[in-house]
Amino acid sequence: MKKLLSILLILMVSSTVAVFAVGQYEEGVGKRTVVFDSRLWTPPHEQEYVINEVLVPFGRENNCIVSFSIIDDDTLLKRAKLQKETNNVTTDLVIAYCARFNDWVKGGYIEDLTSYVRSWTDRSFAPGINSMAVINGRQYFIPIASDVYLLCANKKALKYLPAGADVQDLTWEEFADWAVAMARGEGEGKVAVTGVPEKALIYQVGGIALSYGAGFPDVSSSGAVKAWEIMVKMRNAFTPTVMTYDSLVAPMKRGEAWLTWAHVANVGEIYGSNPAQYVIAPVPGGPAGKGSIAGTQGFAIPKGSPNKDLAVKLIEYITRPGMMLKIAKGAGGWIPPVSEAVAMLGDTTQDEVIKKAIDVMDHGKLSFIPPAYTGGGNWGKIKHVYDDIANKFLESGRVDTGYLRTMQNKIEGYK
Amino acid sequence: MNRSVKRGAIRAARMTTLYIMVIGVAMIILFPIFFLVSLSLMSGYESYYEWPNPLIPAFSAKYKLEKSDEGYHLSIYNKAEKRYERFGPEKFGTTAEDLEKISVFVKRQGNSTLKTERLKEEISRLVDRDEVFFSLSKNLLANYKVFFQVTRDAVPSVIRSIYTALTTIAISLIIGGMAGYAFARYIFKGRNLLKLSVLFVRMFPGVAIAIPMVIILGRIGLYDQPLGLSLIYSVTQISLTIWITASIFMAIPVELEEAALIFGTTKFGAFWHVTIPLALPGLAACAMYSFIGSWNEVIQAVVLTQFNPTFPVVVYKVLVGAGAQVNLITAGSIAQAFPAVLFTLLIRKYILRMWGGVRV
Repeated sequence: MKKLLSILLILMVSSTVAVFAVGQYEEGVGKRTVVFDSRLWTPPHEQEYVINEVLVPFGRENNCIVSFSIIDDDTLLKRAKLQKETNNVTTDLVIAYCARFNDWVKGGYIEDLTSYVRSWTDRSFAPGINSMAVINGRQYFIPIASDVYLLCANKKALKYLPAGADVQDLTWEEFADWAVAMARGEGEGKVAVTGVPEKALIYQVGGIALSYGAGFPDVSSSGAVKAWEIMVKMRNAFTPTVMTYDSLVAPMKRGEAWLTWAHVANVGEIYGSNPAQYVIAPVPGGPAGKGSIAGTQGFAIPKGSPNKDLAVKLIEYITRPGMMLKIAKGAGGWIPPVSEAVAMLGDTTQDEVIKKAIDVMDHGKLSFIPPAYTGGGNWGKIKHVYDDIANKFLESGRVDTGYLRTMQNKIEGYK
Repeated sequence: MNRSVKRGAIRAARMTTLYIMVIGVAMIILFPIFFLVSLSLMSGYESYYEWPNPLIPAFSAKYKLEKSDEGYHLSIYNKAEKRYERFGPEKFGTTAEDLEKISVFVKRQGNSTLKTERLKEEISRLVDRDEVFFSLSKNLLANYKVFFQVTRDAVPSVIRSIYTALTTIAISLIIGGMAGYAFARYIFKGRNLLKLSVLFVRMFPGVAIAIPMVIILGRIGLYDQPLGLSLIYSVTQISLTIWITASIFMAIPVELEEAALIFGTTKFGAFWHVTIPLALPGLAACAMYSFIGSWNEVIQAVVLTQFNPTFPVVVYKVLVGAGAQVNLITAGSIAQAFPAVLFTLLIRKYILRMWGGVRV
């Protein structure tokens, strides 16, 4: 007993001393610390890249330390609310997703950055992307990475491609035929969508609907009905475990799924894991063009940030065209929202992903997540509507337009 | 004779069945741990492209380098498919940039080191043939290395976690142990109701009380402090400690303390020299629960810390985006589980004694 108590006592005393020593050391460094919380660059190698190639050099230039953390959107908002309520704001900079921009502005958590953006004359933000970051005529967010949807196919799937079809310029009908042929040939479905509720199915079906002239979020117009018909046509072409997918990266890498259309960051991750094994292309199209939901992530500075000057400097530093391109290539293959950065693209694997995404961005039929629907967690409920419709139709094998009208009314109720 | 043979056969069958069951249960418990460790030693290629996953991670990987009119092509041997598969970019040239790209790719996806000089050497062997084969040893601990490279605050956060866990143990054992003794030894009105009510605090989800706790901790100056976290964790651990220690103290006959008093010791002396040593297995179990509960807690710690995160928070932040890097996730999980396993081994003697019952 004495031995155990002694060990515990020694551990306790030494850890107490160490905790205070670490605290004293960190205070003793004497540099200002910029607290930067982000929901972007979540994969570890992206974090490593951003920290070593971007934040550390910035810290050296400005004699400060950038404390970078990955935090999801809900926790970011929760933390902002707490810091505001306790009047103890410690976060200097955040990166949030466009679906939550309204919550940040409505909560009164962030600064208006309009005057800063106007003073940066060497860069221009793509107008479509930037429109999401401007709320009530004020630039509360500064876009840092944008996204669209791309097609990704394992090369094993190419043998089932319908005759005459070009994988780089498919229609959704050809895509569905391809999926069905693959399921027949392999004896099981090989197409992946996110089957777990409230994930990306809304964007996948929404993109098809846009190709047929629908709006977003729109489940009942004639274009949307066509999208559901295509989904129903592929009902036996999805992988047997599709309902367990919350991300498309793992099933594609494992070879369980051979064909999908997914978020550019996911496609970048799949393609980057073994480029020789995959083909990437713009998403298929329809009569209205190549439909895709586009989104963006944006910088914001919390009101009362203790290091606002450094936070502004850091945004300015990261959104320089050269730096934007460097980050886009080194971390994930996101689309840089600065036009001057896009002009500098080369021909590496990452450039290829970004170029395909820009092709969709420039020539596709795009829709952004409409801010009117995103307040108070309503976006999750709208995602659920799409999930419910997909479950019902894929199970029954038929599209019920009456049900779609009811569900559209439900969506409008979330405005 | 026949009867004894029959009896022996029945006994052998029973024993065999028993051993099969024991081994089966052990496999159910141990196999996931074995698989977790094995996966943490695999490369990205092994863990996704060799499907179903091998049970044992490879110590080396075989590569094939080919030459064509388009350029050079690298392939890796896929043990599941039993053939070479293209690995990395579809084709590459001999520029420094291309060779560097292949080198980085092999390191990141194959956990092997392929220096550009070695690659050049292999390319030079292609002068009189179309393909060359070579193997590279695999860095088994590469995932752990990447994990700790990305986890910048690992060492300070481990120290904070140890401090938090030990302080939680101390607070919950002192308060919970004393309360448990009172419940065991004293009869008072509302005892059972009070004993039941201490479990009340465990009924609330941690995240629900985290937000009010931030405000309270902020006011008393303990927000983002390991001590603040210990106080929060102790609230839930104390109730469990009370329940465990109350049962343990009840099982120790009060006559032993009375005997000690007769021999001339004080009431505290009887408690310290007689009751505590007998209750030690129960206290060790409480300490283990407190340690594991505190060590693994992440939901409240994410909200309650910012500059001074505990180790699980750091692990969570690193791994939250590693959804499709299961090998890295398992490495992080094992790195986090290791101290808890070590602590449990340290106090195993006392825990095992409790499972064997309190011996007087």
